[in-house]
Amino acid sequence: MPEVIATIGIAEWFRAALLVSIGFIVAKLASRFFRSVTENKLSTHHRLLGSMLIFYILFLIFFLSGLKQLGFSMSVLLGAAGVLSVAVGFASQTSASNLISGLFLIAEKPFEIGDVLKLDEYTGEVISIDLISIKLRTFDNVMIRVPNETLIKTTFTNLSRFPIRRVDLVIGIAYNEDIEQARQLLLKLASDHQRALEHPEPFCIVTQFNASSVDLQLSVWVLRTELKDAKSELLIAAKNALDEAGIEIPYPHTSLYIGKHTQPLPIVMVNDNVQSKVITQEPDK
Amino acid sequence: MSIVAHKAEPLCLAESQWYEMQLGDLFFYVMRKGEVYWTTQDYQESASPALFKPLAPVSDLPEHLEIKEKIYFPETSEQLVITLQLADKPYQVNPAADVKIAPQSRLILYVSTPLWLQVRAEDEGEILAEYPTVIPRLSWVGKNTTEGSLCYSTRSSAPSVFSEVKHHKHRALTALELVNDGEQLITIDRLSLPLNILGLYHTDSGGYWTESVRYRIKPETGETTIVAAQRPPDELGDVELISSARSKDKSSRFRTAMNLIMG
Repeated sequence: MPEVIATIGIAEWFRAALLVSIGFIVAKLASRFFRSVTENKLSTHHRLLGSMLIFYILFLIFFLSGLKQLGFSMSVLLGAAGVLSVAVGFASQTSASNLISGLFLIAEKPFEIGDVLKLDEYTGEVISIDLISIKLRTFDNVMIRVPNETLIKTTFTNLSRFPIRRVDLVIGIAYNEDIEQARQLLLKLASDHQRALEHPEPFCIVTQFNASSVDLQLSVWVLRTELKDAKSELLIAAKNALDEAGIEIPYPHTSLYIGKHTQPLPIVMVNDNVQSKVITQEPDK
Repeated sequence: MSIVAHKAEPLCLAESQWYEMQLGDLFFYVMRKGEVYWTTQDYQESASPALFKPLAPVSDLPEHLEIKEKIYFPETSEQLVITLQLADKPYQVNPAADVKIAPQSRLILYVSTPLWLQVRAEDEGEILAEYPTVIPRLSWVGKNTTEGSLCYSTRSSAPSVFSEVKHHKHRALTALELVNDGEQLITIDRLSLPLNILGLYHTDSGGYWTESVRYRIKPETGETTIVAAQRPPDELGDVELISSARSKDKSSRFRTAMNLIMG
């Protein structure tokens, strides 16, 4: 091999280098041109994919032409590529797996650039989809690299697939409160809330009898982009509305009742002279 | 000083003087400082009666308000105007009661939708700012929660008799002709009104109107076609065009309307 290389003249080296350089520039320009032409026609995801394909194909053509200038035969190269691919395949199993996983992800398209993904404990916006991995930017501005193979194997949640989302608020009320009154109150505040969509309509259901409260679930449809604001505002509005109506939102505690729950708990004081006295305690207000 | 009741007139404001205008629930304030227009707006409670007050000087901006926009508009051949326009999204109209239409029959409903106030360059120029006269509520219209689009929502008594139509200075009326082309009864509980493909007109006697819209519905197949007429109902007589449709592309206008009709 070194003898073969030694036989190549400076002119051939120069021509090969020139072809590779021109190829790089042409491929870059073509991929940029594709991105600018398709700016308002294709999604960011498809534009990136298309520009990457254009770049690699064009650059490969020029690169092979450069090799041809150096006297390499394409048929030998293709033969060598077969042998090489086996060797490379063994050496780079993980990368190859990521690459193939990347192609499956591109074909399946479960997310696009700009989507927000929840993956294990991480939640972030997809900022790039590459051949080996994707990059997420978390909301505290940290970059996370996720190998494509991981995405193929694990379950992840795309939080921004659809334009509208449902906010589910679980609000507990005390056992002695009027459930229907609380339900109507929550429904009204949801209907009046500016961020709540009129359709699908909000609804409110009783979800469970909890240790200290009767749990109501208020579900309101909002724009995906307004989810956090809507959730916070609805929680504040619910607290204020329930306070105003005198409906208690209980904190975790245990109530002891004997017989009817409206009757107070009798406390019996026993002294040494076997006299007993019943002290009635005012129920908690 | 014109208050957008008719075709927009150039905005001629005294230097460093606040002006106020009220329409629907909207309070709109504007002041000119050289070539910069300062604007801000506020809304009253939606349950309050609709406001109407032409653009007029006020001593100062209400204390609780802050300037929200500064529009730089150099004095060139173009003038700045305040005008009215229809909403930027389709409206989902919910009639107060379900409407039933017998087979092979037709019905005209009159529905009203809130207007938008626009500050823009003269002659259909660039929109520099716009405000709804009533804060609209958003709604989702589509087959399910994954396929569909966003629109505004309004309730309407939807009278079917022209003489019963109520006119408001901040709302535009649309005559919807519903045609049942099938052999089954159809029930309509909500309608999508593609306002972005309609123009806004004005008459002195009838207020603001849009072009009329005809829906032809075949309940057997669910097929619906929509045709926008070239002008408001003939009963109005001569009408003046205030604003052209926001969407100029007729094919997309038709497609959008088809996609949005009746959810």
